[in-house]
Amino acid sequence: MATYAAGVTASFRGVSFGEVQEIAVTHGGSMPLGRSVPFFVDGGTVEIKCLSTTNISSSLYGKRGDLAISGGGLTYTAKCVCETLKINGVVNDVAKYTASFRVQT
Amino acid sequence: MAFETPHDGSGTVLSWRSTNYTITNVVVSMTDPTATDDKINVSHLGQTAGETAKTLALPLAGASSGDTGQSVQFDYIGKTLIADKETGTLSISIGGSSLLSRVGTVQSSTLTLATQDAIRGQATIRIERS
Repeated sequence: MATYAAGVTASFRGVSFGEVQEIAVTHGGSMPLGRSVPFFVDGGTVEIKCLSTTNISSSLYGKRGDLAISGGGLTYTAKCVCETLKINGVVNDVAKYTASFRVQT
Repeated sequence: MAFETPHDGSGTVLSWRSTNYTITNVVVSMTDPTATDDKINVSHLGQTAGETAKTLALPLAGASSGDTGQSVQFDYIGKTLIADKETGTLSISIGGSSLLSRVGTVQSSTLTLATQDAIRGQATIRIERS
């Protein structure tokens, strides 16, 4: 049974994003390394596209913290580092924001 | 306005730039160009299933020289070629009662000359909103 991607909330370091339109989580980006203790060079990426500037700030860049997504079959929690922030403006449209995170396992 | 029955369009007179045409068919189109679905979708994942999708109007208005949403297309018999981009007054009356009289611009025009047929033309006039 399909699950509606509705009623979803996403937050980073305890602050929620507003008017989130798209969430893309890729968990895992490289093969685990190490013998005694496995570790990962790339734990994956999370991309959040939204229309609100809430929680969208250049001060987020490089910050590490808990990223939590819940609801609508999109539940996911991970320690992440904010990797990029993108502000997109197109004529005759609303401003759009994209925050990208690198997953640290 | 009220017209006497039957509403068969007989007695209709169409005048374009002060010339009456022998018309065989007229289509008057009235479309609100702002009533289209040109909205920005601002729905988001935070909304619950069953909620109304959120939209915003486009921030820019349409160009005034663009589509008015109102046009008249008519077919006529005759060898008059209606040139494109011509501007003038288009008047239509039915049984002596005026249906419309507006300034318009020729959007497209065709004149067909064929064997065993009368010379027939068709024109579409984009009329200004009143």
